[in-house]
Amino acid sequence: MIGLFPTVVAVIVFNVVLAMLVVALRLRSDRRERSFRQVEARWDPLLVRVIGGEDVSAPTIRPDEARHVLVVAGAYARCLRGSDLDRLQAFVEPYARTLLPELRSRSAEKRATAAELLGVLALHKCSRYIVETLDDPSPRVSLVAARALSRPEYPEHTAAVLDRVHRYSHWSPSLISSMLALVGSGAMEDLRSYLADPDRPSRGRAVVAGTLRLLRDARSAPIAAAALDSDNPDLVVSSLRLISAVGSSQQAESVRPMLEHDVFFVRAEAASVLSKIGDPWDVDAVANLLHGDSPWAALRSAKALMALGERQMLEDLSRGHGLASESAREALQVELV
Amino acid sequence: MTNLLMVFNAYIIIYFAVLNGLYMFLSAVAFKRLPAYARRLRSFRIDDLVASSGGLPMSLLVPAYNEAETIVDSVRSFLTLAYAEHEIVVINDGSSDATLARLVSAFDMRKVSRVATTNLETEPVRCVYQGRRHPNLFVVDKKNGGKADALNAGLNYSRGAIVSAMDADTLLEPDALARVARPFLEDSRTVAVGGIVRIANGCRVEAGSVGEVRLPKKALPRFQVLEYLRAFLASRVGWDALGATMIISGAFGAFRRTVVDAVGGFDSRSVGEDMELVVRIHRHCRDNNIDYKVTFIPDPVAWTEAPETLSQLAIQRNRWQRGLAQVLNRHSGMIGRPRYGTPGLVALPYFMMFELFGPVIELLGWIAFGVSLAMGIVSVLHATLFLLLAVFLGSTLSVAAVALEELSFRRYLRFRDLMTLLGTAMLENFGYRQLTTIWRLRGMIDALRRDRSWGDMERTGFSKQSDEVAFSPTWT
Repeated sequence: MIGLFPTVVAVIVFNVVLAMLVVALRLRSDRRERSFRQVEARWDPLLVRVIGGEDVSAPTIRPDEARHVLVVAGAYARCLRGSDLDRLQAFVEPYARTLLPELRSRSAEKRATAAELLGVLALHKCSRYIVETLDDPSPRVSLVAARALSRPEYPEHTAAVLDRVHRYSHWSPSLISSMLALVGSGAMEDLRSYLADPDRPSRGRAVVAGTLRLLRDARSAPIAAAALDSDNPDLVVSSLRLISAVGSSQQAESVRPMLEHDVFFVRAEAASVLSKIGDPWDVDAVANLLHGDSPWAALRSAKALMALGERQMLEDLSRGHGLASESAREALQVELV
Repeated sequence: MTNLLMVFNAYIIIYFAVLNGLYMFLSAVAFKRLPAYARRLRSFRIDDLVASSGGLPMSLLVPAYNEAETIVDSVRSFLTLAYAEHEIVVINDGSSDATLARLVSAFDMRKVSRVATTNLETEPVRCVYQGRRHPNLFVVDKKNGGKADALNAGLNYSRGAIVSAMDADTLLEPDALARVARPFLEDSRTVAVGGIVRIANGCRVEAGSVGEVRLPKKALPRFQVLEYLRAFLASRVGWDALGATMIISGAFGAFRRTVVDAVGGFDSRSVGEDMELVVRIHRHCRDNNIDYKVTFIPDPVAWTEAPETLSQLAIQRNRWQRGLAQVLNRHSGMIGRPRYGTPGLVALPYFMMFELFGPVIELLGWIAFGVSLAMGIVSVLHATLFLLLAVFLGSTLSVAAVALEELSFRRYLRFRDLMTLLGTAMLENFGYRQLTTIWRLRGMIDALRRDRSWGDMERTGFSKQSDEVAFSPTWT
């Protein structure tokens, strides 16, 4: 009883204070938003003039609005390339430098945010710090730095990023491939060397094979064919897709054994690849997959046969029942859609 | 008798303290977690990477039973979702109305052959249709078998690496798929992701998407808005931080297909198939020493209409409680066993003690409290103080949820709505909470009777009012 009364009073007070805090939070958020809009309204025309090539003298910036200005400039910078971006970066660089101390913040999110903004606004001046951030204790922050460095203007950083690819092992390989592809043709040599090196982690090589596929690098097809020896099915599939995109009949010999691989998605991929680079005598081996236990492999096999011009074989099959017939029927209707 | 009552009262007080302490703890965790999550999202932008083939193909499974009123609008809204590679698989679960005919006619669909890539057992599938103008739209027409059965049929005929199960009457925000896919891209161990479900009553819905967000005018859905904020922004964020996300709403969730296949799909015997699947995934992964993650994120938004009548709400809550009872009964072997980690040691015991038996204990508590008062064991002052404590603690938790909303997403922009929410946080303690306790209690009784029905719910569409959300139990 003695303890209950103060408890009730404490809870009531806490409740009222919390409700007041909510209202205060709303008022603060509204004020911040207004302030952001004002900064945006003041800086937007200025930044547009800078991007347009006008000689604009940089106004003094209040410390409390520096972050807002960088956010506004960052939104522009993400959409720009070439000289437009250079002009904007040169203009905001003094302000962007204020972010450097944040790269040493205790909060991983703050370090990541700073790396991202520095990457889009001041990479030309701060690349050394961003490269250092690749070794940040947090893989996420390291990846943000890798993303910042993956730009066509800076292919020289690709090797440094590739050396850390193993740190991003939990991330989707396709996402990392997509990120590395942003560098473009300047990264080809580093990427090819990485894929060719059997001492590199298989997962990293799979990612790189994906990047080379996105970049459609024809010279990497023989390297991909050599990578098919790997025990790692992800690397094998990624290499098969690379061969499918840029390969030729020269790689067919390496691909054929993959039709008997233990893993069904490797068999399925191999069938698709052979439909592009194979010979007429691959038909029987591809058709064998129709009668296996994997619907995915059967389906890819049927579509591969269609691509190889085996319409009659599929039409005969489609009159029956079971997985092979269903796959044949689906493959036959593809061209109707 | 007196001693017995005193012991029971002491038990109730401890129960009450532990329960509210846990809620407070989860809210506190959410206060730390939500702003950090928002900063994390800002620091690594992946939209362009996903758009340039960095994403994962996704299948949207939409079970539909007698949805003729709404299905065409719903599918139109799904077709506008911003995601690079997705297919929509509507499963017509033996509707007796014009659901199938309207789909076929509106989207110019034709019968196609489609290979089933998994062989989950379902009621017979009659036919698969594909849209002529929208080749990523499929309709699987099958004999009626219930929602879980329909989802399994959808799984059989879908091709995405990620499958997203949702209700036909749910509206997704345009970027919801991209957002819900993000955890799968960020961490290959992720096998299931839940998004937030918000209440669309009162909001302006135009062309299949929610425009202006407003609070409902009626009290009943307004209470549910607050309830959902508590459940999603405080409870689920908190549980997620503890690594024990046990519920992914049936209205909107996404799963890695390989895992759903491995556990045998949705359980068609369960009325709480969404929670059941998640618990089964936890069990499967831990039994097989698979490194995995089941997570909840608060930014992919699905909008749904909440029941506006007491009878509809009662049916919904009854079903949730029965679903919970089934899940806990089926997976009782996980409870208290260290090999099941936080889900087995903390989350499931919590659901058993506070969510399943909560209504019973609460009711007995009120009875014991009344008898104690009548017998003079508890003084009027003591009773009043305890009641005040209960009301203000409940209200504080709701205010905390509103604070979380303000701190993170701020969907209710009108100041008037904010004040109404704060007022509702107090009002819901007088009648609404007690009613939900009674409905849950009835649900428990029905669960003991092995009632597996879904109950008849009205479906009239977003432009009109009233609906139900297939959803799982949450703390209230």
